[in-house]
Amino acid sequence: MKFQNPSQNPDPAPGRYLLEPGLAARLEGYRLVRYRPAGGEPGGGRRSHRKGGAVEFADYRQYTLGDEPRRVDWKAYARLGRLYVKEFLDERQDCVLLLVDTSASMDYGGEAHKGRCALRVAAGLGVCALAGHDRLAAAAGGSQTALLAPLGGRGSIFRLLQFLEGLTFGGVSDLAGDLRAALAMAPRTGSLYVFSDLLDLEKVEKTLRLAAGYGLETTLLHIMAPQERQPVLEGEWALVDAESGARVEVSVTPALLLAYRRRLENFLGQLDDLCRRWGARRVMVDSGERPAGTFFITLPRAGVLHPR
Amino acid sequence: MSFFHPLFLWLGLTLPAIVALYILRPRRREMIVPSTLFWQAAPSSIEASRPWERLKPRLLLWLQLLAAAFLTLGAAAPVWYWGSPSKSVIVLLDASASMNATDLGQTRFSRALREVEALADSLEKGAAMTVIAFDRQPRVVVREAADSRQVHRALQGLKPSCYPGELGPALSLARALGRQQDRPRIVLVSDGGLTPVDNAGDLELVTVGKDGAANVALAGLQLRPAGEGQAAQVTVVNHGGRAASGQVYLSAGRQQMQARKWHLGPGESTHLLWPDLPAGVPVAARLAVDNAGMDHLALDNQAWAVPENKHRVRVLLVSRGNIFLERALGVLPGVEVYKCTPQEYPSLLGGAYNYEITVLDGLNSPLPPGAALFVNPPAGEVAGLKVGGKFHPPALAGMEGSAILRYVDLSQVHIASARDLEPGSGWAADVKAAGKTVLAHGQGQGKRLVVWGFDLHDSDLPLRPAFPVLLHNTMAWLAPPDLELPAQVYPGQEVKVAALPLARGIEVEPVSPEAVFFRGASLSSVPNGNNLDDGKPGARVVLAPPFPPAPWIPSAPGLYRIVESCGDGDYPGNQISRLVAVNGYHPRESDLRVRDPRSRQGEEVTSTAPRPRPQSLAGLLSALALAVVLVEWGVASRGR
Repeated sequence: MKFQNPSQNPDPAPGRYLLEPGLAARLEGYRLVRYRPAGGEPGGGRRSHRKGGAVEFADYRQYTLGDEPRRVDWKAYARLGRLYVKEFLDERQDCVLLLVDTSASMDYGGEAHKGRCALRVAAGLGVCALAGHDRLAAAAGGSQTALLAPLGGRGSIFRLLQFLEGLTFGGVSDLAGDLRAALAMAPRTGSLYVFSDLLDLEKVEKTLRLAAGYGLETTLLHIMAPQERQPVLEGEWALVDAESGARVEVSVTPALLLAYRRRLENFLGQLDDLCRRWGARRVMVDSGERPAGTFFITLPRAGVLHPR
Repeated sequence: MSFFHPLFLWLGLTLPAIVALYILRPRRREMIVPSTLFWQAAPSSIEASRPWERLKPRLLLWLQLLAAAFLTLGAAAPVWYWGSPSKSVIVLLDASASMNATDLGQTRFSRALREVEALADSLEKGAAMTVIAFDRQPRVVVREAADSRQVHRALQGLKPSCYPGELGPALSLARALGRQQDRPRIVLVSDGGLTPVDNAGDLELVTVGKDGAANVALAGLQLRPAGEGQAAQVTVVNHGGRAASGQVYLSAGRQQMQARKWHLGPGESTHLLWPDLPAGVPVAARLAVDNAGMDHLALDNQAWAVPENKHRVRVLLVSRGNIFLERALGVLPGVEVYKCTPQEYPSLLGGAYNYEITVLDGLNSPLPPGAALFVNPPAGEVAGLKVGGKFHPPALAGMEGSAILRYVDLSQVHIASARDLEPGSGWAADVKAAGKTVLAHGQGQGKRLVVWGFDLHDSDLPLRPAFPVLLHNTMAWLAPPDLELPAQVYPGQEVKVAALPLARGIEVEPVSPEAVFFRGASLSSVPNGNNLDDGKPGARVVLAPPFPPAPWIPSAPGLYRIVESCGDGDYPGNQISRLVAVNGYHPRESDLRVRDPRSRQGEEVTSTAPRPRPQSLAGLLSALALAVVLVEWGVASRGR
């Protein structure tokens, strides 16, 4: 397990290859959409179940000894003759965990490299989280697991980018194991964003089950290359699985391509079933799409990002 | 059923090749993909160490095998004989001059013999083969031979001739022989250098020779007077598809002239001129090419030409005195006029009579040995022509097409008194008046005779321009000024030799070139002149007697001498010899391109044979192959 020390002096601009400066600046105007109230640490900007000092009214309760006199509703006392205290909702910080799949299957796509796309989207969402006063932790798993301890504040953006830039692709994915390690490092995590091609249904279900057990709000960002969604092949090919090394010899014909598309649609349907079962959502990200399109069209439409 | 091109059956090897393609594992390109999850289409194809796999019956495989089988059969061009097929073969073997070409390393004729032998060896049991060799005429070499060894023996010693090939007579003979058999195949083995024929749809063709065979030929050698001597013009033609160069050597008599170089592109021709040759001598030209590959036919590499034959005709005028005839005969070119009285005439007949033409003025007998012109004969009969009484002819009418009246204007001619001539068999009237013949010509007792049935003194004809013209025409018809040979004589050409009036015998003998020329013209090998007619190269041929002379067919290029014996004994005055040049160039034979003689250019081969002819299945099979390929394309596009 590789541990990334957040106190290390970061490169002044390590992420220029992942996010263009202009893009990062635009992303600071977006925030991650959370559908459930946050239960993290105080001081954040997200709604919480807890009562606190925010401006949004929550409820009345009878005064008990020790309550602050300024919270007593004196108008109610004048009317009812009993002391009631007004309660307001508390706003908390959310702790976001980015889990990036860096297995060998993500090292694919050429110009539309899936791994690069996953890192770029993770960086973008990380910028949104840090700019939105959420805490952010990250983990990556492939040949070995890399962890980034929870960060907070805009000043941590460069550390996040440095962490992502240092990741390499290879090995076999173990999303559940990586998630378990990351949760041990950041136990207050409330939101989980998984960046993966999700090719192993069994491992995906295991990960979702684990996340549900921790009560995480899980978003699967399904990274797929255009060549995977619409293969452009012809003739005789020997296809080698990037992770398992399994070899399949195929004669690519229109019929075989049709069967491929049917299998892919069936697979996506099974993924959606898993998401419904474990309370997660899946967002398809095309690695061949331009970053601006992904951040400002695809992800807002999917309800992952929202302008402030 | 048989095949036009059985060698194409080798294409059948594509069938096992297609099967092998399905058995052998294809060499696949390797590519790493994120997952093979969605590619699990053919689990049985997952990696195996063996380079082959078990043959699985697939629709595509069967369709491809079917298409290959159809294409193979279509290329072999099967022929289906509707009705009961015949196994017999009639072979037309081209033995014309172009078969002497050596573009195949051997002569085309040798290759053609091998083809015929192969046909004989492939005869089925009960089949028979007839071989007809032909050039200008067909000849049956072997007829209905059931044993191939019999065919082999018959073909031994057969050689090509120097004649141009005529397919028509040979095809007619083959069809005539075929009617006696049960619809035999007629196979033409040839290079195609033949006169194309129509209605040859039932003819199978086996071609020999390379289409790009090169040949440079001496297409002509002409002589003409030039100053005190003569000039020779040699025409060189390049029939090949590549440029060629070389030299032409010329010999005039025993004098070797300076050689001339030439360079010709494909299909081009040039004319070389030697302007100052000695007069009266024969000329020979020989072609030499710089590269032996430029010329594959030696037959047309030499040419000869002889100067115009000048022979003065001796004319005897038998008359009591006719100033008109004497003066007119005296001014005719090429004529030596002798005169005698009717009393001296019989005594001359009893001796050595050397006069080709006798003009009998006022006589009708006795007939001289040579040709004769009767002027105002007395009543009686002249060799089948009856001479009647006198009458006063009105306007004269000339017969159209008469050789005697060529350029003769009779409109101003008047005759006061003429005899009524009644032409018999072999005679033709030339001038008529009031339905009666006044002037006639014909042949009687083997002699050329002309009768003028009037006295020149009773007519104004001698005063008219028509008189010398009429007399000239009469002399020219009685004694042709030359041998009436065409300008270009080639082997196999039927040459009619006109006999001189006094000729008693005509022979043709080849002239040894060394006897005429110094060197050069005769040094290269002259084609041996073997032909299907006589088979005796350089033989002396007797054309006459009997008269009229038989036509002479030269068998080989070269220089020949026609000797006419006019009197008794062998002394030189009795023999008149003339040289004749026979050149081997023939445009169709010298062009060595391989052609299909079964149809004329631009016409399709059709058959009007009364019997059912063999039907080619090549088109049907090709259409089936195309249909199967289309089905295969549809199946392949839908998946295997």
